[in-house]
Amino acid sequence: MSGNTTRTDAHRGRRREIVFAALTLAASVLFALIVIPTGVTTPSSVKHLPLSPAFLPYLLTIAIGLFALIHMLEAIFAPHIPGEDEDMMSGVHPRWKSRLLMLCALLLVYLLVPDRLGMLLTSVLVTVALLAIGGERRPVILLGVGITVPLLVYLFFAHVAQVPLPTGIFEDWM
Amino acid sequence: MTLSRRTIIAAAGAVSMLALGTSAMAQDYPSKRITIIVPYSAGGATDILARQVADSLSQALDETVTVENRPGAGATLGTTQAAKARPDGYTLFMGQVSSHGIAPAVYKNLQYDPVADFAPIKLLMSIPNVMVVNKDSPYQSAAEFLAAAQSEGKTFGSSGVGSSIHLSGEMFKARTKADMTHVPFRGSGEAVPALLAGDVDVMFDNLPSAMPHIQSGALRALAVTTPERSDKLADVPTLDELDIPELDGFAARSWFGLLAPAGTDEAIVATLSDALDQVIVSDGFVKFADTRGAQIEGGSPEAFSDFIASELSSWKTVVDEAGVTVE
Amino acid sequence: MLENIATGFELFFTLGNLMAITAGVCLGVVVGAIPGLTATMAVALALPFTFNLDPVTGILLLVGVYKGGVFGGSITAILIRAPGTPAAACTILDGYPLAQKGQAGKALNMALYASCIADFLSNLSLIFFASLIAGLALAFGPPEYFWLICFSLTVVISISGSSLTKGLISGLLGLLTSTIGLDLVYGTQRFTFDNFNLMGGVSYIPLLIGLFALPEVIDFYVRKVAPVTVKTADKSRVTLEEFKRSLVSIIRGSFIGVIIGTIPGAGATAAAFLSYGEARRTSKSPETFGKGNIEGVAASEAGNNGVAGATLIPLLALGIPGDVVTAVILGAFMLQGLTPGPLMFQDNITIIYAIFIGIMLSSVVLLGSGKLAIRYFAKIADIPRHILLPVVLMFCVFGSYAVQSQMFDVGVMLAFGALGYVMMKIHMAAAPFLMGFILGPLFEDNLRRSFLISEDITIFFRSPICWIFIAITVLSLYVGVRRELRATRAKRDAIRAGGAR
Repeated sequence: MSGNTTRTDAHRGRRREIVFAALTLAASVLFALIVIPTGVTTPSSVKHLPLSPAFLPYLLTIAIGLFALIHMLEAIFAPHIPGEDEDMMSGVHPRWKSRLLMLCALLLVYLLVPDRLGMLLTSVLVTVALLAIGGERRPVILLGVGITVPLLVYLFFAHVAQVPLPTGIFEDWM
Repeated sequence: MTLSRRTIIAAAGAVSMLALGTSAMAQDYPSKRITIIVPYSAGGATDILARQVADSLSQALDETVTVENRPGAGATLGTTQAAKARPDGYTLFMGQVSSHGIAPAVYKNLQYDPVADFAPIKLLMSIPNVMVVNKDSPYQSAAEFLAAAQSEGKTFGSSGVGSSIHLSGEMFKARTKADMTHVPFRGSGEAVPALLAGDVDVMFDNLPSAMPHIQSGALRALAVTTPERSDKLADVPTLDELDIPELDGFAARSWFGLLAPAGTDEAIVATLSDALDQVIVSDGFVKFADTRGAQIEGGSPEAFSDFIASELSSWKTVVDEAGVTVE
Repeated sequence: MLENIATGFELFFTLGNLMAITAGVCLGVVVGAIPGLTATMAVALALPFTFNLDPVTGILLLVGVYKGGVFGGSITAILIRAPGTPAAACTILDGYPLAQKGQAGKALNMALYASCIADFLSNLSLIFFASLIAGLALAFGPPEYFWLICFSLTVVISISGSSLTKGLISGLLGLLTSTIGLDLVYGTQRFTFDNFNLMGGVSYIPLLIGLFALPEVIDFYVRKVAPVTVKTADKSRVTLEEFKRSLVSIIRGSFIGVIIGTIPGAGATAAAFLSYGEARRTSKSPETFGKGNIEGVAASEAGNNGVAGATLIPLLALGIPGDVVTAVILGAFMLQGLTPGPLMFQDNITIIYAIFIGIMLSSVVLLGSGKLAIRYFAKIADIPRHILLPVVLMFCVFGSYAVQSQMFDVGVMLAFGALGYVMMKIHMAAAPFLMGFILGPLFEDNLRRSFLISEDITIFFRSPICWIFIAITVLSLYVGVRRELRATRAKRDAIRAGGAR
């Protein structure tokens, strides 16, 4: 029975590695054919090949493709080693999708809101929200940590380290 | 988003100006922390100068003056941010030869206008570039070097594409038609060792970074690139005074000056200009300039405006002659 | 000479100087421990204070800040997987797994001991061999440098984790990422797509924080139960046996640091990884590295602190600043009317001796203030994860922003955080990526500079240093690959045997 699960694990692991290698290979081909020609401006006169701005990107992309190929062959022909790859889905939170979504939303808040609301208010909001998602229900901690810590860190960065953190709507009070 | 906020701020500013009158605002100045934006990271030549100026300026104005580093994209990022800052006199900008001389000529799609977006306050100091070779180099003069460079290939080091060090070399190359290959490094700190080791043949370095090595004898100064000789190197000729017609009027130097965003109250500019007049004659600043081999400049805001205009046009000429541009 | 030393002593032994060193080191440790605030930034912040101090005091303050900062970075690297300074990135590899096993105290103490010993050895090299090894700084032209970087890149093999091919792909991706920005030689755009924020390249610190710290945060919210992680740190101590075992790595790491530090531009991060790679390569049980081997922490910290004293060698002996920190210190010297370089040894030898004495003492001060810092910082390990991680995330955001005062860098951090999380899930080691990213510009710049300097390909074989590095690169590749293949085969055989049973 345990032999059986090991075998399916091995199967799954092998398939995953093959998919990974195939995707990497495809990406490197796309990169070489589309991204490098559009993304790298090459001057008309280049004395030596290695002097061209596109030389290293091409070299690296080819190497990536090559290693992806080797990895694929390895995954197909070598007896795969299960065990070291725990299953990707093991141990996830029952509501991991909604939790991940909320986390992503809060990360976006960190990216987009500070210019408007200021870094201090944003960090208070996100910190309190994350504490709540993490399961904290005690108001003392929720608000105590959620407000005091961002305030202290803000003051340290803004006034001791002199980092001009966005002040947002509080422009004149900071 | 930023636009709407800026509009509101501008409107609020206009209302308060009407209510209080311009002079009241300028009279209060400064009433809070002043920030000098430096478009380079902490520790560079511009940063150290800005910190020196901030230190002296805060004494002269009796108000805290701090330095804010906004590096990136060869000084153009910080300059853009300074250009868009609120013109209330609390955000100033440490301008230099790159932001208000070279960059507008080199970069095609610059996000700021070096003239329209800024109100110049004062030119603080200028630094000559010096043509240096290794002490073991066979060339004793710029003319000898030039003769050699016209017959065989030579390399010149620089602190990076678009630096005054690079463009001085390009200017020399374009005018004399010498066969010189540009070897870029990341900063003078990497380029000078290459010259000391003999990996590159010549460099048109900023005087401060070359000076210690000229003094110790490791490098030989062939010429300075300013129209006048430097006090520090009185026996080194200028390129202009050499008997080479192609190099007549050769002028390339680094300089630093303080600017405010355009639209800053004239009274505030005047206040700052007066304060800076005190700063540049203070012992600390004189000593600072002296250790760097720099010339203290000074002068009125108008003179600084004219200076920037002339710098912009002369670097434009160099860049066009040399054919250097950055996409 | 003796008279000069005596005068130097007199010049040094003032209360002000002792206070400057202590204050500097303490400030450095704290600022260095905060992700995003680097040792460089701490030194620049301290610079204005030196304007009104006398030369020796001012310089010692800055040197203290620098040394404290280099050690401070390891504290958060070990405790929360967010390296406080870039050079501490390598300390994560074994430091964080140790902390997860509840041995944060041990890891922190070993980091401190390794740092102090390396610092001390580095200082000794500075004082006694400065003029001797300063020549190294000039012996490394573009071709020599190119081969040195090639050799450094072979370390990727050692830090690839479970799969060599994936590790190599990771390293190549890092190299590729490093090509983003304006081209060095032509100033043309590479993968910037007209975005001004990218023209200077991807910022290093946001990438670092994103790649290592953020995946931990994401993982916590996705997992069912928080894995029993960092336990009380105070209980574990470095045993004498562990210390003895690590001593060779520490000393070797120190000297790798000294050599790398002497060569301008190479940097502490590369030294840490090189030292780590060497420690793993020579270890009897390389498979335990990356899973919480105390020797790994010792090796990487010895590597990056070994650089700290040695970067002053080219500065004092030749007047060449090897990195940004020494450039700031050079600025401080010049503000005081002193010009580092050969002339200073003639004209101001007593000041140099006074600084040397202070620098020697800084290692001891580092030990003391490090112990103190560990005692307080280690309490971080006791904070429940659901409270700690939101704060860690806040530091990630603030720290990324602080580098260039731009929201764009927060975006960079988040993007590389996502990449780091994916890499964690597909078991692709992140360390090679970082290694490739750091070494990429050095690799390419020196390759291209060599071609600019000489049309002739023989420039790559012009000196004995080139040949030495070519030889050890080939050797390192051969030994490394053979070892990894053998380890895979052994594992496979073990599984086969297990399957048969």
